[in-house]
Amino acid sequence: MDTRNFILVLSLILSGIAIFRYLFYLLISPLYDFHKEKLLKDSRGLSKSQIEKRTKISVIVPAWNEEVGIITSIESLLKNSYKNLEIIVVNDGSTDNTNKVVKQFYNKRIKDKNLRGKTFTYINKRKNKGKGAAINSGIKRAKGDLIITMDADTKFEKDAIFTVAKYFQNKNVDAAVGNVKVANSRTILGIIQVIEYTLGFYFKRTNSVINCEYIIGGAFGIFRKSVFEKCGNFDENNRTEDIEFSTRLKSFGLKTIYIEDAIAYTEGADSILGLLKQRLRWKKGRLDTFIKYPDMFLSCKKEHNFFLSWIVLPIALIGDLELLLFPILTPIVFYYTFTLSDFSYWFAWIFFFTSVIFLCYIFGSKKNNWRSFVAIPLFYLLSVILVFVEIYAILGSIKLYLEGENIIWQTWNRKGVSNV
Amino acid sequence: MYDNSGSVLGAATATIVLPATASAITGINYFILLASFIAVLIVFNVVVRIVKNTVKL
Repeated sequence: MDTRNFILVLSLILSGIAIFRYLFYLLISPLYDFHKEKLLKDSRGLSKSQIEKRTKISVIVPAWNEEVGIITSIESLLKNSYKNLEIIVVNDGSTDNTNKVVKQFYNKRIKDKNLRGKTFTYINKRKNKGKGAAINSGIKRAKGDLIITMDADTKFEKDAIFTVAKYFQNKNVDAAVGNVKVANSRTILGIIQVIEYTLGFYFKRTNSVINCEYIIGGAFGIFRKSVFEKCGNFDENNRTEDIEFSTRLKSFGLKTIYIEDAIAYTEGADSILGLLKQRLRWKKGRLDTFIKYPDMFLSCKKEHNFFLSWIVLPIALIGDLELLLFPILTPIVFYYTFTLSDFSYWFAWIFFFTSVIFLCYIFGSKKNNWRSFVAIPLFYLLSVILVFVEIYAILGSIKLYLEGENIIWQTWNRKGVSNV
Repeated sequence: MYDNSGSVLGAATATIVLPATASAITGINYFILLASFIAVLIVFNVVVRIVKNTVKL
C-alpha cells in the first residue's frame, strides 16, 4: 500500500469511528427518558417521608483550602429538603482559613440548633493526605445507606438529594453521578464551560442507558454503602480518585447510572491557566486509570459490560488520538477553503454543531443556563480554545506518565458559587 | 468530570463526511441531506418524548 492509499484508508477509518461515536450518542441519548422511567418504578407509590424513613443518606464534603466556597456548600445541605441526612465535613489539613470559617459557622448556625433530622459532623485533619484519604475518613464515620461525595466548591439544588434517594429505591443501582452544571457564567470562559458541561452531561444519558458510566465525578457522586464493602475504598495515592474508583466499580460489574434531575452547581475554572491545570489532571487521571485496568478493554469477561469494553472505552481512547490530528487537519481544510473560495462546508459544520447543542439544551436537562443559550451559535468558534486545552492536556498527561510523575491539585482564584 | 473526547472533530467529520458521501452517491444536494439529518434527529427526540408521555412503562 503506498503512502497516499494508507492516508486515505486511515482517514476513512478515523472519520468512520468519529461518525459512529456521534451517531451512537445522539441516537441513544433520547432513550434515556424510558430508562429513567424504568429506574424510578420502585419509588412510585412511596411518599417522601416513606423514602426518608427507609433511606439514610450521608454526604461527605472533603475540603482542602476551600475557605471561599465551603460555607455555601454546607448551607445548601442544611437547606436541602431531605431530612434523614448526615453531613460530614472533612478538613484535609487546609493551610487557609477553612478550619476557622467552618468552626465559626458551626458555633453560629449549627450548634444547639434544631437541624430538623439532619446531623453534622466535622473532622479536622491537621495533615493534608489527599482527597481520597479525606473521603475515606468520612466513609468510616458515615452511617448512611447511601454515601454522597460533594466537592466543597459545589452547591446542591434543594430537591437534589431526594431525587437521588428515589432512584436508589431501585435495588439494582449501585452507584450514580448527578448532573453538574457550571455556576460562573459571567465570563467567556465561564460560558464555554457551561455549554461544554451541558453537552458532556447530555452524552452521559447514553452511558446510563447502556450501563457504561465509568466517570462518577467527586462533585456529585452517589454510592450505596455496600459498594465500599465489595470494592474497597477510594485510592489514597491517586489524584483522580473518583475516575479510578468508578472504573473499579465497572471492573466489578456494578450498575452505574446518571441522574439528570439531581442538579448541582460547581465552580468552573476562571482562567485559561486554571482550565489547563484542571484538564491536565483529568486526562492524567484517566490515562492512569486506563493503564491500571487494561483488561477492561476488549474484554470477554462476564462481569465487564460489552458496550463499555468494546465501544465506549476504545472510542474514548481513539477520540483523544483524533483530537491530536486537529492542528494538522485544520490548516489543510483552511488552505483548500481559501484556495477554492468554498466556505460551504464551514457553514455546514457550524450549522450542524449548533443544532446538536440546541438539541441537548431543548431535549436534555432542565434548568439550563439561558444566558449561555444565546452564545450557542458562537460556541463552534469558542470551542477551538477547548480543543487546544484538551490537546495540551493529552500531551501533558503522556509526558507526565513517561516521566513517572504525578499530577498536583489545581488551584485557581476561588470566587464561590453563592450567586447561583 | 465527564468524557468529552473528540467531540468537535466528531461533529466535523459527521458534518462533512456523512452527507458528502451520501450526496456523492445519491446526487442529492449536500445541504438538503444535512438539513434532513438534523430533522431526523429532532423528530426522533420528539417521538421519544411523545411515546414516553403516552405509554406507561
